Amino acid sequence: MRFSLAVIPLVLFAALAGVFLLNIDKDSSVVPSVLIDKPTPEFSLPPLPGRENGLSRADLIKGEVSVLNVFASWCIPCRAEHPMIKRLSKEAGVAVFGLNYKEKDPQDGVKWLAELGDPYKAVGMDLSGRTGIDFGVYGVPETFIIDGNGQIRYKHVGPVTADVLKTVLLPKIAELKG
Amino acid sequence: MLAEFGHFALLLIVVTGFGQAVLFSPAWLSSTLRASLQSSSVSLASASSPSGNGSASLTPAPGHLPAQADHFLILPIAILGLGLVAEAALIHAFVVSDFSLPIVADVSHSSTPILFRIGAAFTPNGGAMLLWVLAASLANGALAVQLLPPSKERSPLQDDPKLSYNALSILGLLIAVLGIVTLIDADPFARIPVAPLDGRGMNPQSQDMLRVLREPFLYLGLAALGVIFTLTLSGLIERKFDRRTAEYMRFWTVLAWLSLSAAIAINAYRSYSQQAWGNWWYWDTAENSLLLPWLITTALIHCRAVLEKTETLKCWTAFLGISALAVGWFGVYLTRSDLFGPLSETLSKPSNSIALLIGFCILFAGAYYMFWQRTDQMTEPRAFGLISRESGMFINSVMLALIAAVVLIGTIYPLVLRWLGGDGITVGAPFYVEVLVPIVVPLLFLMGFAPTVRWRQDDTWLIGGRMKLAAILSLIIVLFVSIRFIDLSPAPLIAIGLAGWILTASLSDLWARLWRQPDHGESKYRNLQLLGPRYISMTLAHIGLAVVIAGGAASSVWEEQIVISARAGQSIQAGPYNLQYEGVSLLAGENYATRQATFILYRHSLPVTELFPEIRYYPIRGVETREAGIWHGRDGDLHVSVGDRTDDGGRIVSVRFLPMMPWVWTGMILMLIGGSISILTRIFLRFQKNGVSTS
Amino acid sequence: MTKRFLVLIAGLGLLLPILASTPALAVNPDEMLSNPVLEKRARDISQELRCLVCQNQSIDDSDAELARDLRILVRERLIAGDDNEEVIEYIVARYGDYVLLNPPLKPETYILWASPAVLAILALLAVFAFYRRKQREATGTTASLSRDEQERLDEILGTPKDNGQS
Repeated sequence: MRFSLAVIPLVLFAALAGVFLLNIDKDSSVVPSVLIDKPTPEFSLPPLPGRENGLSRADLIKGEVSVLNVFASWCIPCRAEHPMIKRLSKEAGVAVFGLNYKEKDPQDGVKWLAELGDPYKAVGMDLSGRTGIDFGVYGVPETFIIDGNGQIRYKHVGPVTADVLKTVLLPKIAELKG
Repeated sequence: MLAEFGHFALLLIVVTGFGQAVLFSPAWLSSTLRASLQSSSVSLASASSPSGNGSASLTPAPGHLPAQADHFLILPIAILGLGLVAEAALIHAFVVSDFSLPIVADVSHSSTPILFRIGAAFTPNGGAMLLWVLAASLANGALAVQLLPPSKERSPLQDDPKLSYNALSILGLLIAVLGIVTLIDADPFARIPVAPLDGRGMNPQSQDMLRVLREPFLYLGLAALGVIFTLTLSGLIERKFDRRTAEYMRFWTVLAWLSLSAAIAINAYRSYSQQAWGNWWYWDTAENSLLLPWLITTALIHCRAVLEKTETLKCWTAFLGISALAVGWFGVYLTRSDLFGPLSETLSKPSNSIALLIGFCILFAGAYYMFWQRTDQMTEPRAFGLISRESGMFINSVMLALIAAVVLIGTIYPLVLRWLGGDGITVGAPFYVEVLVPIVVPLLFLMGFAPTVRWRQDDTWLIGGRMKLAAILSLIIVLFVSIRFIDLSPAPLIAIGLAGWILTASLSDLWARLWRQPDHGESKYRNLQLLGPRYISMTLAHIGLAVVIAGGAASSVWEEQIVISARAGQSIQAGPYNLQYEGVSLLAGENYATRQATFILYRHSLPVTELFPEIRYYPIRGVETREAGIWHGRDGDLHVSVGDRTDDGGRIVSVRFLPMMPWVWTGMILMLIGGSISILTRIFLRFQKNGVSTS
Repeated sequence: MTKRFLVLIAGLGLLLPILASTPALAVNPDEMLSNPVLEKRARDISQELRCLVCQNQSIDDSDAELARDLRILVRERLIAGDDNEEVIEYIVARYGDYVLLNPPLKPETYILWASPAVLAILALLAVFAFYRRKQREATGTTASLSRDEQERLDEILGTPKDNGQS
């Protein structure tokens, strides 16, 4: 009894400390997506005002790897990651689609892209946020990598940094392409 | 420049802490001790010689203290002074907005009101750790005074010089470890070469006087747990974990319990008043890490009493004495390491708090090892029967520890699961309620017996006789409630019944004691005196808990809630209250802009008061917060908060009437008063004794 | 002083445009369903679902934008005729078990759900063993006193009934 009173907390805390120490660098605030390796949800979004092409599931199942980036003009980290998305669309050699998430005013997204540049092949406007929910979006920006069959293969939550781009996204895309 | 001074002071605390650990350690002192113990008459003579600066506090007490060791008493005083200097330096940096300290730039701003700049000093990791160091040095100083009393009175501990020195040695080590952890993990005095022009502002959620007080209470509680930890360990090391050790621990257990209770109460009230829906407990990580040490401390309060009274339960009390600090420390690690993601208290860069974790491992591996080594030879001369007060307290403490274990598992399970590669899961309120109710119900039932069961051995039939009145009264309450509210589900009914049971049991026992025939022709007033502070504080704490439970159950069941889009002039009915919405005005707070709504509150069409719920906007962080307007009425709380404008030109208004909600707050206050009575009489008695002995 | 003034002006200036776009109060009147039975069900479901961007708050408690969207979604599903479980499944299909405040029973959570019962049984066994040992240690002393003996003992020890200090 005494032995177990001494040993149980010791073992418990040691095990916990071990787990914590081993995982100290992992960001535990990211909620893992259940949609990984699942087909992209069915959706069809209207284009931004003054543009012709919207975005729908059909664009994502054309047999090639693509990237879907969820952004919004009111989201400050989106502004920070935008140069990286531009680099991504130039360097990765895949189509990068944009999902303009929950703008207060439909014009906001247009203005934002006009100001910062538009790296997207097509942008869908999700004013209600419903498509975002179908994709399990809980905090913009989020970036999905989708394979040729329209299956979601990877999701990055939070701004894409140069580091994330180089060490995570580009290799993942290359792997899926090759 | 002052910050460097503070930095140096913190560094010196580490050095002095280690110094205290070494100089008071048994190995160092053993030779001097042996000499002095062998010739107490000699040291008695040395006691009369003036020591150093002639300060009374350094005068050795007669008989047992080795004269050489007395000079070391300067160390706890020095540590306390250094702690104050370090904290003052940090607060000064906040007050003058020295943004070359990243800690200041992170959580303060030149527009932050001065009081909150001081408060902001406690919120970031480095500031909180420094507060812990300061609280620990305060406790260290107080323990030194307690163990090595300033006057010439004979303190009980003077019979135990080894125990005293051991305790001070371990506490010195603890402070040194805390200081090192602070310096490594989140050095509050680190500077950056180029200061930003201004800071990022205090977290608006924390900008509240009550909320600011939570941290000092939490860390005072943890510091008191640190003293319990050291007393327990030194008791184990000296193989003297007995009645006397328990006696020294008493003040500290109550202090820890009181501080942690206060922190929990503040936390609950802030959750309640800051949110539209105003729940007061969410079972989130921060709350659970307050609850864990509170549960173990509550268990410890009871076991410690048994140990002091009967010298039994040594092993279990020692275990709780060590574990209370362990879970407290672990809770700090959980909240400070940003493990749990999105909503953290500060925006400062996430700290992985690795030193906090390693310090924890080393300290508690040693402590539990010592526990294992030293408890095997413990003897417990006295026994107690299954039906006895000891038994009740023992079983209750086991149940409290069980609850703590479940809460701990629930808190860390999602994290561990994720790291082991599993899915993300959430352990929220429904889990805790489902799992804890079967443990809490018998615990509360047991609580009803607390005041009446006798020590050592009692008789079931006699207890039954004593509890008759309470049983009948609580059954009447249950019957009345179930008839009055016919469709009430069983869970709240059980809660109310148990609360009634504890309440009536406590009150009937009090009644019996007060109106008992006084002995030997003394007046009935004597009965009141006979109760004693311990009995009064226990009764208040128990009644307080019962009142919290009754209020919590009733308010959640009978809550009335109206959410409407209101226009100026409109009136809203909730319970017996009627609220008239007068409109919203745009006002400027000290560092925020606010939309303040005005409501006139009527009760049965008589005006009662005005309420001003707000939506505040803090431009520095670009964050909005909400302050509810709350009226604590006789029959319930009226809680009103406002939201957006609606398309039809009105404004969203949420009005809630929570019957019996004031019981929750009253109960919490009763518990706090109960704890305070115990602490204050303790302090008062001590000073009185000192006064008598010196005069 | 001027700085503070500037901050306030900036605050007020920033406040004006966002007057119409602040985070919504949990459950707005425009979200609520006129059918009280459905609304009650919606509230019940909402209390089981976690607001993803908060700590252990339900979407019913939360002022976050996403929580609001999910509340509206819950109500839409209810109007569409889903029963409570179908609504919850709909959300779980998108966000995973993470949104459930009450963790579901599955192999990964067996330990979590079993732990309270296992710990309780262990505690019971330990307490039982404790009393067994106590009794063995104390045989022949004060293991069991009769009522009279207890009263006499109390008399001798001078511990009358009032000695109920804790």
